[in-house]
Parts: sequence; structure tokens; C-alpha cells
Amino acid sequence: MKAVCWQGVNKLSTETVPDPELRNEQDVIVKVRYSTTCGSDLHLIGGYVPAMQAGDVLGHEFLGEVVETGAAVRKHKVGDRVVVASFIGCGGCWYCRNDLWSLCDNTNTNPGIASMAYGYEPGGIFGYSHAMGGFRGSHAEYIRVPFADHGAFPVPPEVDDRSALFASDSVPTGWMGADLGGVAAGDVVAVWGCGAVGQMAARAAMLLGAERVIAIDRIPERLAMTEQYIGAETIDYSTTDVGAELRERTGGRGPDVCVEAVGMEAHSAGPHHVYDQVKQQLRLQSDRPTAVREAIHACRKGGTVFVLGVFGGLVDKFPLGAVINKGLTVRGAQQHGQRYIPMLLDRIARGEISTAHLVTHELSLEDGAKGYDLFKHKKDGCVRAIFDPAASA
Amino acid sequence: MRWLRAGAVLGVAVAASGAVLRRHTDEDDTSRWLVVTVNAEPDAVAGDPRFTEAFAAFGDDVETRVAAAPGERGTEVAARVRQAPARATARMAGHDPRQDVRRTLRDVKSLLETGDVLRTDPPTTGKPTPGGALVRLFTRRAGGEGRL
Repeated sequence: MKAVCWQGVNKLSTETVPDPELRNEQDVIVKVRYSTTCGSDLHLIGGYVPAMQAGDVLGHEFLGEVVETGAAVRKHKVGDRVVVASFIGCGGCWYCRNDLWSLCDNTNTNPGIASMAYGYEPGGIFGYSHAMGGFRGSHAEYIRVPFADHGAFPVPPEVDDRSALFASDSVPTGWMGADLGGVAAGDVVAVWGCGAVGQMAARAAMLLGAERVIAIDRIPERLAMTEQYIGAETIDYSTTDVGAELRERTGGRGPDVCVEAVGMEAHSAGPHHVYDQVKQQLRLQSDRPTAVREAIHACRKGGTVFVLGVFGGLVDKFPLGAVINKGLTVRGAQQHGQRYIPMLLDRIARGEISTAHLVTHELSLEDGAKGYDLFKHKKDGCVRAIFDPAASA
Repeated sequence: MRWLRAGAVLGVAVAASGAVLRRHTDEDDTSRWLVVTVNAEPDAVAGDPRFTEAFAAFGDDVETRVAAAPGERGTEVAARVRQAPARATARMAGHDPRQDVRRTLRDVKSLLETGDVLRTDPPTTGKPTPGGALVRLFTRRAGGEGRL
């Protein structure tokens, strides 16, 4: 089958690789209908997650059709249209039973790697390096889905493929940021980043009762999209002092909840961006925490900062003093998709959450490298490039 | 950009060697237990043949114990290797019995919690590279390493 493969730092190619096969009785094989680029893939492609091998298949956000089921699969049958959570959860460990699915104890098949970096290993994830289990990704014609009864969800007939696709990761990730960030009725919420996850976090905050939601980015198309489809206010950080603007819009208090949806390759307009870039390129820090710093400074006293963006390792100049002296709550997580996906599919079906607008480019697998070039450099207004394995280049 | 990759790989290697050295110092006596918590009742764990048979294979080289975890978090399953810890070189070569014990603890936990031990996908056939060789070495050892 065809698949988009990582071949080295900033090198992608579309290759013919062996078809997946059932390897555990709780597996299904899914024929991929759509698989989308994600900002967190850029960290892999750029070499920031040093546990990739040439030939690894990328992609973790997808939907498709079940074409084969393992002997122990109970909830799915051949022909089912399913969206699959990007993290693999076993459903039996303490973390899965407590709805902390991305922390699953039993799905990272290389626990010794990630536990060296983090103390304990998170769960496995599709297409996200050997530190996260070494599972093949979804930018392919077929993919094996372990523990499918827990991680694959039927798509309501009224939800089209393009809309359902983002229920795999972007929508639950965004929802989790607002939910675990404790957004409550009457809150003012600020969201850093107007990519798919940031937009979904902003929408989630609105649906959870926030009175004002303010999203921050610098890309005009993304700011416009956030206003049009999400209904949030926006700030262009390239032309506006974000801290001053947030103080003015919140009566001098600062946002109650700040959600960071940017991650380790953040940009900014100031000299600290150059500082962070140099330190990151010299490997004196692995991640650029620009938006996290700004969120911590902007947040009201006693407020909450939720870190949704993907960070891999160490950061410099983290404002711990602000966290302590302002009494902030700082949380973060990879997505616990299984906790939210059925509810979110229902909300998409009811029209409460719009997702199809995120698709700005649809490509074949043969155009894998081109898709990531569009996405990474935000060319041609690209917000998400998605791959249709059935399409020809 | 090749130096970026090399730097990243070096960073992981340094981190890994640090972890190995720390653990070697920490486990430099035979009293250290390796432990997992299984999300099941103690009676169910202690009497399950998947637990007893897995550790029976070690004979007298490994002792085990089972205790209830606090807060209804399940059962703490501990195992201890009687012989002195292996040297770092033996661990890199995969010849440390603690690696087998860690792997067995994880497998038993997974079997009791899910009925299965998850297997990853076989690698595709990418071009051999030094970085890839290092990743393959780490993945071969990863099931028997980590914080247990």
C-alpha cells in the first residue's frame, strides 16, 4: 500500500510499504478515508523528537472504514465508518478507567524510552515516533487500530467524512483544554493559536459557558476563520500588544482561563523569539515556550493556564515566579479523546461545532511532502491539508 | 540540517546514559523491588495463573510479593532479582535479568488488565541510517528498561 513516510529531518516521501495485519485479537484494520496533517507532526518532521526511523509512517488524526476485525472485537464489524482517537487506550488500566486515556499504562510498547525523558511513559499514539510506541501512522491506505473497542467510534450518518475527521484529535484536544482548564459560566477565556486545535478550544470555551473568548494569532486567514466559524474575538499579535489588549478587554483583571494551543515551535514578534530560536537550534533547550510565557503573564491572579500545545522536553526562562506569586493553576495533557469523542460527534451532528472549514487543501498520498510544505509554511492560506488515499496525484 | 538530527540523537543518548548510571547506582544492592500496580483485586491477581506461571519460569532467581494498593488502586505486584545488578555494558547488550523481570511485570499487568499484551507494528523498510540504528537499539531494550 501507499504511505507517507518520514525519511530524515525535513524529508518526506510517499512509499509502497507492507499492508498492516492483525497482531492482537482486539485489533481492527481500517481503510483510511481521510487523514490530516497536524502541527505536532512538524516536530517529528523537523527532528525535534529524536526517536524516528527512516520509513516511519506519519499521521495520527483520521477516519475510515473497518475492513477486518480481530477475534476479540465486540463493538465493530466490517463496513463500519469510524473515527479513531489518536492515542491508543487499553480500556483496562487505572488511567483508562479514570478517563485519562492518553496516560494508558499498556499501549506504549517502548516504555523505556519515554520514561527516561518523563519519569513515566505516556500511552501509545499512531504515527508518533518509537518513543510513543512505534505504531504506524494514518497517512496510508490502511491502518491497524489496537484496542478498537475503546478507541474507534461510529460516525453518525448525518456527519460527513470531512467534519468527522477532526473528531479524531483536534476537537477533543481543544475541548479538553477548556474542560480541564475549568472554564465556567461568565469566564473570559484567551486562546493562543488559531490553528485547528486553538479554534476548537475557543469553541469549546463558548459552549461551556464562557462570556467572552479571545483568540490570538498572526495569520490573517486564521484570525478571519476564527471570527467567522467559531464566533470568537481575535487579536493579531504581530500588530497588537497582547498583554495590554487583554487587560483592556478584561477590565484590567486578565483572562480567567488561558489556553495555549501553539506548542514547541512558537513564533513571536519580539527579540525573545530570536533568543528562543538560537537556544533551540543549539539544543540548549528543546522547545520554544513563547506562548506559554505570555499566557502565564497575561492570566488573571488565581486563574488557570492550560498547555495544549505539544512540548517534548525542556524549556528556558519559564516564569515560575509568576505561577507561584499569582497563584496560578497550570495544567497540561495530551488528549484523552476516548472521554469526549462520542459527545463531540453528537455536537458536530447538531451543528454546535463546525469543523469542515478547517480543510483548506485536499491531496492524494502521493502529494504527502507537498501537503506538509503547504501546511508548515502556511502557504495559500493553508490551515489543514488532508490526504485522501483513494485520490490519485 | 543533519547536525540537528545528530544533536538530537546525542541528547537522547546523554539522557539515556544518565538514566542508566542513576539507576545502576540506585539499584546497586539486591534489596530493590521492581513494582507495577495492576488494576485488579489482590486475590484475583495472586491466584491468576498468568501471574504465577510467568514468574515460576524464573525459579529461585526472583522472588515476588503482592499487596493491596492504597485508595482502591488495585494490586501492587513486586519482583526482586536475587543476584547482583548487571553492569551497564551487560544492560546495553540485553543481558541483565532485571530487564526480563521488568518485561514480565509489564506483560503480566497488561494480561490481567486487558487480556492481551500489545504488539507494535513491524517497521517498514526505510533506508538504514546511524540514527535509525540507535533508535532500533533503544527499542530492543525499551521493554525491559524504564522506571520500574
